[in-house]
Amino acid sequence: MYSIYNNSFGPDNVYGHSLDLLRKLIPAGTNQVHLDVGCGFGAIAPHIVAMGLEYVGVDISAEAVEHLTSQGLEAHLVDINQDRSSLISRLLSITSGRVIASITILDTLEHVVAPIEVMRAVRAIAANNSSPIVISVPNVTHTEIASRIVTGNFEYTTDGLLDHTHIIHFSSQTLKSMSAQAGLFEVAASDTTVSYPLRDMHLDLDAPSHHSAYYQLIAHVRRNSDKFSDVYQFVRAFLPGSPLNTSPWYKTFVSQQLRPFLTIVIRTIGTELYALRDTLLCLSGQTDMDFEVVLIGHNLKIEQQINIEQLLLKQPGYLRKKIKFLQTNQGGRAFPLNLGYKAASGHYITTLDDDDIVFGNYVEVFRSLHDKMPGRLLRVRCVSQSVRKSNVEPAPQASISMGPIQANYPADFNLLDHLSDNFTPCMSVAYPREIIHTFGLDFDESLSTAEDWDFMMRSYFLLGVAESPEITCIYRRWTDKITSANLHSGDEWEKNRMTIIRKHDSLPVILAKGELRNIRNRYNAASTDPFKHIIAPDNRLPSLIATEVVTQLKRKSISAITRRLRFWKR
Amino acid sequence: MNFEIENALRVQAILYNTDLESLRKAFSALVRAVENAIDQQKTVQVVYGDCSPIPILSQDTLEKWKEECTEHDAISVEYHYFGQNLGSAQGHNTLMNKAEGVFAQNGNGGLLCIMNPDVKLAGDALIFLIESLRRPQIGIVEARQLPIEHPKHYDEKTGETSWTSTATALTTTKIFWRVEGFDADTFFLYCDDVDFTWRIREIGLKALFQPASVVFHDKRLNIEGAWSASPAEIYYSAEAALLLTYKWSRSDLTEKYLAYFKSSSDPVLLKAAVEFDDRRQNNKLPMPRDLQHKVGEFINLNYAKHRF
Repeated sequence: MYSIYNNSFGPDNVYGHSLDLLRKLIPAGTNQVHLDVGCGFGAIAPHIVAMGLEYVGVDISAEAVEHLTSQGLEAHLVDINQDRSSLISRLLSITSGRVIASITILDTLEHVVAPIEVMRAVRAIAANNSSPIVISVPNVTHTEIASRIVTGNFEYTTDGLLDHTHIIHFSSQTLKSMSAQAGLFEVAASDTTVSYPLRDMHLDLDAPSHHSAYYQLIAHVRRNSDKFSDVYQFVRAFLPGSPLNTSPWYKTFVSQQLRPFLTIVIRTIGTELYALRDTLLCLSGQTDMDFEVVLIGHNLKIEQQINIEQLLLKQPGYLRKKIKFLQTNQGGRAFPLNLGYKAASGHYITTLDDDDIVFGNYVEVFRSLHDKMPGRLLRVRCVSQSVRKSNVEPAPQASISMGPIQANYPADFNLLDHLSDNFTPCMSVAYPREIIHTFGLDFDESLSTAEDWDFMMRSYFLLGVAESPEITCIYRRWTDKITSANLHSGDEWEKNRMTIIRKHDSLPVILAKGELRNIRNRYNAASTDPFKHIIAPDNRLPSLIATEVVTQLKRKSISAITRRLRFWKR
Repeated sequence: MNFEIENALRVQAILYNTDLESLRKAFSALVRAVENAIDQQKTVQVVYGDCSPIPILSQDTLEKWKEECTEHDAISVEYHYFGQNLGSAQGHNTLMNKAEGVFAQNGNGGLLCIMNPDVKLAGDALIFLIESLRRPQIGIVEARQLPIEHPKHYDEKTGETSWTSTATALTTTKIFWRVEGFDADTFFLYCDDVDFTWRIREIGLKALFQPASVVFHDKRLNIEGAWSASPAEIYYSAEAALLLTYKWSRSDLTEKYLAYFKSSSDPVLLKAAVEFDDRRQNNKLPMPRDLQHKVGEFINLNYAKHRF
């Protein structure tokens, strides 16, 4: 039975990757011992010898040990399922004072009862010479396994990722936590990747096709979440260090973390702080103060940094203590957003530009939406107002509104409209932190415009949206200063728009419960003659027209319009 | 050096069932704005008059708030419970009548900031109000309100404007006493500030709008994107429109509005018309002034030209 593990060496498999790591970490010509813990049939042994090392294998299988010794290699029968001090003594007696250059534990730890104890024992032995240790373990979070578990399918196999003799399963995080706790610090990685491991190895005829929408969705979610979705084995090199005693390697029960409800990320280039002053002032007047502000200074000169710090010092204490001021000189528009979203500690995260105005219920309405539909994107209605600079002596420059507030953004999130362009300013959407920390999404730093639209849609395709017709924010349209709207050419905006559309077209998407009904209702409404008549004069967006009709009819839902329009049609 | 401006500051606000948490934040923001604008050697008084049916605050609470948010020794706080709803005009007059020292009628004078109790001042709001008031011949300076800005016109260079909102405005106690405070006999809630400003302008001083001085006044829009007034706001605005036009010698407009209100089916407007007629019958209308129409401005139902 043990002979099923008699796998041969290959440059692309775990053995080849392990050797690559050892070659990087061990000086050439080292005439010392390499200890191969759980050596099996010694697939790496000839290559270790070729490196000028003295090979010593230990394994629980007499068959494997006999195989190696018959090849003229040193091998010993050792059961590593023993207490740490006994294992250390046994291994030290085998090496008997020889200097250990390196250690491997390949595809072994998943078979032992207490792998952290084996790691600790090996760390103790490696510590004398600061010897590198290469460990490989299978990745239980592979997309193939994820796609099966969702359908309730979890079956052990003869060997491979779900080998029936595995006692413990590893994710990247498990290996990271356990090794850190054992005092092993990762210095290099060379994971193996395989796309069809289970179905090829075990002829799983019932596995969902890679071309199915279902598999594409699972693969998309899994791929975004971390970079290990196709990793077959984690192959990592470690050096011995001090063990961490902070927490166990496994997750323990923790009480609810004290997080603010909302993180408001504001990016600024520090040029017109009178506008930022207005934005911060609006935050000082929130009815719900359960928020934090992450203010990101982008490419600031030293005097701009000082000016911002002085502005922050002028804030009342109850607001000032909520503001984290970070700086970066890297990247384009999206970079500071990614920095801010990753630094956010709130349950939800939103973005304000450094000239946006919000009403006193900005946070409050987001929270009430969250209470009704937690976990979705939260969308409120934004209005716009034209503004310009004004300067009444002896005071410095300020902003002043030049036109009435215009309710020109739709109250509803119409998916069909948003597939072609953005009608939701960034400040009117809040994102659950899971979108960053669980699903791994971020703002596309290759986009010079509309990165917020792209991010919102990709988030929407995973989580859906909860929306409120309440107006809570004002987008200011400057008539006398450069903004992103006029800084970039029309061609650039269009190029980015098409890039985003192509990107979205390639994505599998989820439509939340009720969204199909919304689409059908809007389609039906748009198909009725009265609706066409309303739209015709100025080609306005169906959703904006719908908002107006909803308002006129004093209804709060699109379905009310549909019913009304059907009635008119008759 | 202008002793009135450089010497001391008194801030007054009238409470009426004000949300306490909002008030606490407004107080904290005010204190921070004071710290940023006034050095510790000057006298600063923050005075609240409470018109609520039951007291919503106390001297002890106010002292505690102050301890929590400032170490500015010169700031003192006062709380006065009125036991009746005096309205904003009478409330401010009552508080000023209680003023002592430099702020009293016979005092040397100081700055006087009239504000709504729940308005949050930007950290530099007082700095720019004070700097603007230092300009010659300036009688009162108004701060810009967010999130809904008032569309009132102002001179782009000088900041001169028709009237100032006392949501947050800065004048001096000397000027207050000189114009005999607010006209509480005529105005209860609305337009008392329009009338107050126009009387300051009548004595040859200017009213300024300072956009760099900014405050947060929590007004909301309805889902149609419009500001919706409550019945009380409609009533007091309608009543004030009749009284303001009458007082500032535009009885032609008074009669026009009165006729419209009387023909309206809106009970709130009808009530305002009845109240005005009742005042007229009982000789309680104010004495008309500005007969040459040099100060009062009545443009399209507004008391100033509007930017939009």
